[in-house]
Amino acid sequence: MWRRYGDVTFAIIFAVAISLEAIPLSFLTWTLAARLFGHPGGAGLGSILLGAVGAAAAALILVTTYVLTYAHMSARHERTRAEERQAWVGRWLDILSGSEPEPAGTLDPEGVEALLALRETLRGSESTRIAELLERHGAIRRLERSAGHGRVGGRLDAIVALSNARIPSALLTLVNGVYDSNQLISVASARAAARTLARVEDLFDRDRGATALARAMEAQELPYGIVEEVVVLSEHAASSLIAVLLLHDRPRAPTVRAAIDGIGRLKLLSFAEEVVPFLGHADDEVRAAALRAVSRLGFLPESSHGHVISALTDEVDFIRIHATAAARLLPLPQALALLTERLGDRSWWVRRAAADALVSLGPAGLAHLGRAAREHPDRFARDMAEQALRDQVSNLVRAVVG
Amino acid sequence: MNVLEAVLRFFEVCAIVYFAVLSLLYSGFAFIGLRAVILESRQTSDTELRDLLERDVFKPVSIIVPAFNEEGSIVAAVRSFITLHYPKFEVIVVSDGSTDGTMDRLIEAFALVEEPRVWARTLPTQPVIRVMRSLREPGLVVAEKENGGKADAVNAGINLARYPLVAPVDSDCLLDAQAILRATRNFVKDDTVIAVGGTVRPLNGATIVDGRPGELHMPRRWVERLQIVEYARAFFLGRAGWSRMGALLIISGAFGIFRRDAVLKVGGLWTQTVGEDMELVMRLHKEFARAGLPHRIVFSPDPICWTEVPADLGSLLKQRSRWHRGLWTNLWRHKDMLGNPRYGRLGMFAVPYFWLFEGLGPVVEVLGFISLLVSAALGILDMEVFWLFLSLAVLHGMVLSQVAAGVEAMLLQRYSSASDRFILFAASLVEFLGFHQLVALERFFATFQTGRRRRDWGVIPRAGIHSVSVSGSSHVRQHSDR
Repeated sequence: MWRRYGDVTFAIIFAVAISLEAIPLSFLTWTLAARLFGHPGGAGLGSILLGAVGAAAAALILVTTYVLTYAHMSARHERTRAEERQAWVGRWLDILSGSEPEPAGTLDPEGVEALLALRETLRGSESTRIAELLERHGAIRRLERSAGHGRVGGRLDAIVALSNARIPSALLTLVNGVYDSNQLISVASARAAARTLARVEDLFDRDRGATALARAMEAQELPYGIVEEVVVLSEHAASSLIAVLLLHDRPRAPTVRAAIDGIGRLKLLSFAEEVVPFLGHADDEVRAAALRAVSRLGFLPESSHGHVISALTDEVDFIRIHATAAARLLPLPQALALLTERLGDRSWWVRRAAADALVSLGPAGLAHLGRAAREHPDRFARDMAEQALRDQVSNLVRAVVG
Repeated sequence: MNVLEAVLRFFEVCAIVYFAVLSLLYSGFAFIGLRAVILESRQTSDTELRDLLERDVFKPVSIIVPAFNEEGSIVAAVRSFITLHYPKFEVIVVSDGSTDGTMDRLIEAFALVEEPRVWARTLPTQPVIRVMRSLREPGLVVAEKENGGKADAVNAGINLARYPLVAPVDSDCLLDAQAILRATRNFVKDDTVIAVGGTVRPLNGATIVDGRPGELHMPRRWVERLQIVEYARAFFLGRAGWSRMGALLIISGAFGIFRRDAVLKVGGLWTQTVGEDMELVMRLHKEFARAGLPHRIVFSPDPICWTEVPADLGSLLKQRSRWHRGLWTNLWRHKDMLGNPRYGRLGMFAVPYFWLFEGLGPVVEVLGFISLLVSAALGILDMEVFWLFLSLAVLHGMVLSQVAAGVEAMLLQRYSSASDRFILFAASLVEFLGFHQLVALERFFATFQTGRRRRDWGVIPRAGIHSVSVSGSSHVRQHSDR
């Protein structure tokens, strides 16, 4: 989307340009404001304006020269870099296949970039060899150094590169980055750490990494969306991470929500029982997340039935919506009865969720919908049932038409 | 010195101070904006976007396309929307009482069939005549309703929307393939975000391949070229700066994404203004602040929407008149926000700035020119000061335009040929030698027409979206003549 070089220099040039302009403009404002309030004196208006015009002209020349040079040079630079990168990709593939020896010494940036791209693409033993190459040539060490120091842009670039590299030895550096006071760095480090954690094979190291990452996220109070993303990105390390997040001493509601949503998204059935207590949580959002999770898991532990049934009549609309979706997992006769009742809910969205849930129950649900379309005492329930049946017919027609 | 002369001198000094303060402020915003763009450009990596898609961490979106007499472009626009790179979305086209072949084109192209449909009529709108579904595109819904204006059509679309995020998009726009993904990223990252605005870039002159802008070329007319610089300055410097300061007042009506529950909470779009986009943002800020709810409304430079800008001066002036009338209607409607600390930076800084500089700017500028003419006629004009001041104003504008052109050069999809770069550079110089002044004059008149022409959209000819390139004019803009 953006070229990530030359922008900081441009910002500096612009800062110089506006400073050039700001000094005479401030002086002009000050002098004229003083005159307005009856304090004439100082330099004449003409000389101040002349200074301001000179400064603006200098600023224009400065900025224009940079922009035109940048546009010209960047095109050439990119062509050269793309060619070099391409050459490196070919060279690395030869090295991996054993037909060429490894290069000696420090790698140039294009070489590292090509290797990182291959690390993302290749799997298995080749990917492991790439990780070794990155470490052996000092690329990871340099990236870790850049991730920890310097200007924000450079640090973010290094963190993204580490995120692509997913080298377990860099995990600690990334977790430390989560504690950074700059939220951009903190969030990028958390994501990169999660991706890296997913590649940690040793169970002990994985648990230790998960604990460190969970603590860092809690200490930084990262927002719900980010924590959820981190949980999902950590893939098979997610269980360790979720366990730490939920077991944390007084976890924040957003963290709990994120962990529970992670359970649902990753379909971690081993956590099904852990979700149940949260179905009765005081926080509406946590309760909704728990209902979403059991719904996604496709399994309702028996101990959760009561919670789901009572949530169907909750005061809060979005709780009823999620409860309705989850109610399809209750024993069939009970689910059919409760969902048919929800077709008459005061909220359109609950009615829609009830209709969708009945459709998902197959022939029995469709039969109930058909009956509801004809006989439900509530007009809105009849309309919704009819609508859901029509949607089914449309889907069938679309499938036939192709 | 007689009274008139004293008044003229006093006004001139005030105008120069006004200009100097505005220039300083705008330079400051531009710097903040540039910094925000630089940081944003590094925030969202390709890996991150791929992760979002692969791991199912996204929020579904309902794209709402209000259309009025768009038979020339509607099919191409809808095709481009339904091929966006996003895992879960629907496209809701709302034909707002179109009198041309808009509906026929849609029915033919997408095999639409009418079906009785139940939906939540949460927002009051003009009656919806029929709702149609496509037998070919499962995510496409088309509604035909009685004419009620763009805001009314969007409200009808919001009623029909199934997903938690709604994205009103003009039907003469094209979206970058990743635009929705990049914009919705903000909602995932921070659940206090209630609205996200993206960048709008002129489509004129671009080659369109498979419903997306391909190579960019400078359009033939200077009016179009000048708008390329204007749009870059407004979005990459202005809005990015305001957003960074947490005081964004405008999300372009061409493309924005809103949390549906937030829009419903404030009662949808207001139908009595031609600046419904800004009005919604102001009301969202206001109602959320009043209720003490944490909220953020942000601009993100990454999601890019391409729009066809007016190709002739007359149409452009009509558009600017409408924008300015919309601005005043909204500022007046929310005058209680002016200087009100309850609304934080918005009340204490953004709204006063919009009153003083965006709203009154053209008035001061035009009165300044009139006072110069009168001074010249009276023989009291200091020619040296006049020329120096004019040069300063022009040079300052050129610097900002060049900075905007610089940000444009950093985009991967930019005007790449040397001749196009030179034209872009020339356009940033030419803009302040007459064009800017003409627009200021139109906005000056619009200031005094706000009450009388509050809902007048005007007719703006458009070329329509074609598969190869866009230039010329023969098409009637949506939602005109209200």
